Amino acid sequence: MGTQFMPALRLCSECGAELSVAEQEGLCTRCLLALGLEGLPEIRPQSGIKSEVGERFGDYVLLEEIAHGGMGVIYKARQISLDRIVAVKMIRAEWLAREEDIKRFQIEAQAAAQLQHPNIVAIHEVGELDGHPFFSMDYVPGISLAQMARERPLGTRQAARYVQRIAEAILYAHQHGILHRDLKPSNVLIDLNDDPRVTDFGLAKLLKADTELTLSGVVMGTPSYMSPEQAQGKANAVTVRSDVYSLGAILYHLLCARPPFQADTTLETLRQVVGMEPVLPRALNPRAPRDLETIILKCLQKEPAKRYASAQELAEELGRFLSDRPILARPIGPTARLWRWCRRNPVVSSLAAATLVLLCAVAIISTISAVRIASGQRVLRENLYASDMSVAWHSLVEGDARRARELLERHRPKQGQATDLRGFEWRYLWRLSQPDELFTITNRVLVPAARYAPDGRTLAIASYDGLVILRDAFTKKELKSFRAHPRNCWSVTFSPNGRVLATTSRDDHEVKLWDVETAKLLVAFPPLSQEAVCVAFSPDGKRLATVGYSPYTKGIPAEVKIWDAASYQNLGQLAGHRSFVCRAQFSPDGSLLATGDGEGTVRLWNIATQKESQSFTGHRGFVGAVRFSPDGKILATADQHGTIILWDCAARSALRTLSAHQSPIYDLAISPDGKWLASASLDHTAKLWDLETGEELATFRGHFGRVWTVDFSPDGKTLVTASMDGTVRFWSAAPKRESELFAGDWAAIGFSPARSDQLWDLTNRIRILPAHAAKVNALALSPDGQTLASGSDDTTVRLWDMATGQPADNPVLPGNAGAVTALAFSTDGKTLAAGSFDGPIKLWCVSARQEVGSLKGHLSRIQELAFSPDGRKLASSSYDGTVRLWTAPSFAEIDGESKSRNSSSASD
Amino acid sequence: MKPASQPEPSGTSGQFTTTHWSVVVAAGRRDSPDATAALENLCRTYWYPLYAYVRRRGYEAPDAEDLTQELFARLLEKDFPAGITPDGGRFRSYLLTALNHFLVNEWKSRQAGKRGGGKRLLSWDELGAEDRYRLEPSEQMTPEKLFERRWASALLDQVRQRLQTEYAAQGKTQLYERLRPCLTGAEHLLPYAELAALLGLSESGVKMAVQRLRRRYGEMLRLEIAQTVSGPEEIEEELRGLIAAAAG
Repeated sequence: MGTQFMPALRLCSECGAELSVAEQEGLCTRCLLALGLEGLPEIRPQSGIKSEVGERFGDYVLLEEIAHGGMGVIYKARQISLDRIVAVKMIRAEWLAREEDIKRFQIEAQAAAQLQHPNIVAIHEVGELDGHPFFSMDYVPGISLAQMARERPLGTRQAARYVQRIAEAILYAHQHGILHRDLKPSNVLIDLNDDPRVTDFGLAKLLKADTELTLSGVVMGTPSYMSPEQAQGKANAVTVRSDVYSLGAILYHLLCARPPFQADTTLETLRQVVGMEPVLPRALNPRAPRDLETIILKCLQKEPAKRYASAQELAEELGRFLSDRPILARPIGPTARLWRWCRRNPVVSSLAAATLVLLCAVAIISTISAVRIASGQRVLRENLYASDMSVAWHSLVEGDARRARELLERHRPKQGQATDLRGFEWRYLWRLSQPDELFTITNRVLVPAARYAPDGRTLAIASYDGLVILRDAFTKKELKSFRAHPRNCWSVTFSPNGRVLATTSRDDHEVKLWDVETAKLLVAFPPLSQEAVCVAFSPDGKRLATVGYSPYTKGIPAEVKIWDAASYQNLGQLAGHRSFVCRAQFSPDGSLLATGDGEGTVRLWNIATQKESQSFTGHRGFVGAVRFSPDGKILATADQHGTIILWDCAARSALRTLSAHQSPIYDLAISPDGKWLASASLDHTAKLWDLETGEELATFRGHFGRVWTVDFSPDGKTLVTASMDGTVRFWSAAPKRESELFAGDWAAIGFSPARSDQLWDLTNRIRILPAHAAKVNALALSPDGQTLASGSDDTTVRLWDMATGQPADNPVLPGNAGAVTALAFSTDGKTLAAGSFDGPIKLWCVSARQEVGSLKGHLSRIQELAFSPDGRKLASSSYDGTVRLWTAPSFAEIDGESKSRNSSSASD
Repeated sequence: MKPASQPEPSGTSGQFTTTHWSVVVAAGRRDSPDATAALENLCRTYWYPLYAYVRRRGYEAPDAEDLTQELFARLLEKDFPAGITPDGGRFRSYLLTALNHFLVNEWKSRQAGKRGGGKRLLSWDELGAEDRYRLEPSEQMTPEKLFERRWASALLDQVRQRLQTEYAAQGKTQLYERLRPCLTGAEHLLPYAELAALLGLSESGVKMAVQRLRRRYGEMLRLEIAQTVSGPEEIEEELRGLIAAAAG
């Protein structure tokens, strides 16, 4: 257990993952393994290859190198006996040195050679010459689909036709027992008849590493088109449906000019393939027909069983699309998509409604721009913009503000760029992505600790390169820095009078005291036998406690020693710990020392007798932090599960237990007035709590690494945090409520009218509506753009005047009972429909604020509502699995009348 | 003509052909002393994941020692447990399958009678198996998961040793020691300027050396995996599988 804590020497600096004891050298297994993957794109030496052009190779004369990669090289060649031009692919010897491999390569190549299909690049000869296996195949002049779709999306019918043909070819191969397993645009050549020809067939398995070749000859090896089961290395799970997935990914690329998933690194792409939903094709290319989007999304389902069962089904479906017949697949509604997304991302699901809203906004923007912008280059930029905005929002929801900022930064107009694509959504996201902190100090290596001096004027920073840096707490300017330890400095602690600074190192096990004024070493204590992680001064400054930490072997007692702070004499070692200890603190009266150990026990030690005076049990894992309130009445302790317990020291009992963080807590701080508690956690955040009520007051986001320490300024107004991201950040120690901020803002953004003038107008007048007493689930804008309707868990439907941003007159529509889940205005704007969790669908006459209908029939929550364009029908979908169509010919008559009626003249 | 050959990594040359596990275990090349040595080396590299697996399955330390020892001994003797003949797939999967079979079908009966004295590959006193196992996290982790993770660790350890040996052979021990922390990022590393001074290189020279080390590490890793999978196309698959195991 203990190894999960204090992992500065035990964590991976690349990804920050926790290292287990068994992991060598402080390096993360995953990242080390990834070196093997990322090593693949390396450019291999080319020497000796090019010189072979013009040489004879058996029956062939090599004319020109077409491509080469990690394991193979392809030449254009003339076959002498038949006097024809072919392509010859050779496998590099070092990859196939084993006899079995060569045999297998030949068997597979021969299997592929049996495939005679107009849309498959035919293999002519499989052979071996001088021990080098090779095969020859059709030479297809023309370009690959990858080159074709590089610049811009293809026409939709053209794309559908290509993929239909490819699917037919793949079906043929499947019928011959061969899985391609490496389908992607670069493996499809378009011949001079404008027909697609699939290549690298049946060799995919063997030649997997020999992936995409770009013109520059660099092997890309991107898994962007790979099914999730392949991405996870589940070889046995790869079936024909994996090829179906790749076909869908190709179609996606053709329509969107980018693959469904792409990231800077292979690993990140794999992560996306496995865990993320693709950006909707229509968000990237508004001209993509909805049916094609439906087909693509069905192919790209994470679960193979939900995809088309065969390439044949896909080919037929595309055939239906091309002949303008209805397709069989049903679209996955945005609500269902969102729901699935929520289920995969439970942590952020509370914000999911806002996500949906943003996606709408992005789609709107890109529609407008697609109309406005003619040039292909701009369309590309536009697509990228829409996609990046969506990803930026996801990043924010996941707490990665840095990534969001990077994405947003990309779209600042560059010099010479006339168009500025940024709209209100950019500005809004930009504002959200701004870190909460007041100020950031960036250190060149990770920062294990930052502490205020007692007078609040100086800040001491422990730097992982062994330095201690003193900065002015107000101007943040560096006052001085000195090397405290040869390799790392783990903690800094001021003496109560602020004149002495204690430093520790986990590397050399040393504890040192320094004169703050002169930065001179006062004393270096004899090195501890364990890693020196913490020093605590008694409030009168006469004593200090040092903590040695050794969690790596179970049952080794912690090395907690007491010293005379003047004579530097050791006064003894506290005996009785049964496990390691991370932190210690003296009680305000100096009589006790609190420690928390690896087994979850909090102990109070009598300093005079050096005996344990009492212990608290209640934590379920190691205790990472202990902190007394200034009056000494409360002891706050925190553990590896992110739980904080507040103990009543006099009553010796737990006052309150807070489920504070999802991850271990490393440090706690209590404000000088004793009102607030701050916690620092491995989850990259710090939080502020009301010590008396236990209420969470604020979450401070902005670090992108673990937060090691948190400290209040002596005036209680500022918090300072130190993190493994190499920064020290300052925060305003004040409560903040962010949830309200979200609901209101998104309403205005998501549902502004889809007319560009009004859309841009909104830039400067985003409002926060003081909307409802509970969560807002649904919004609808009247067709004239004047009225916004909102529906909430508080069971009310409210109307808002869009011109003023204020509640409309008589804002609450009467008669609704259940939590509102869906809203829709009729096309004439006169009628509003509301769906709820369990009650009937309600209809109101908007102008009279009068209920005019109650449609009973659904058994469960209403998902979506939509009026037909003529306003005579209302469609409703529900979690009961049905879509119902309600006809209401008299809607038009409901105008200012106050009669209510049941118009449930509907059926499925 | 001969296609260009990639420069062979020194110290590991030819391993793919002659020391591949299925070659040395099953392919009748056992008469070669090299092959036997190679198999022993594989066993020495990967004994711990098996040991940890058996322990996590609930067997006592002495039983786990015997089981692991026995399995390897029998591989060396081509006495494959109950017909679980190596099929040339992954060494990792094979070992686990063979061991499971061994546990279910043969272990109890063999325990009853005394085992024959097969070749003792591993010296348990030196290995400190139980000391190591005691450090394993006590949290819930299935035997299979533990096996996969320790397999990955063993693999990386082997790669590190080979890399170290290779650098040492070129008289670059100091360079290796200084740059080693950079394998997964630069945070534990001294600043390039400092390193440059220490190593007598330019800063760009240090950067290049770091790149070279990382690249070499990746190459060696793939070579090492190549010995335990059935073909080069499976290297990536194995890597992904291990990464998934390490992540999960």
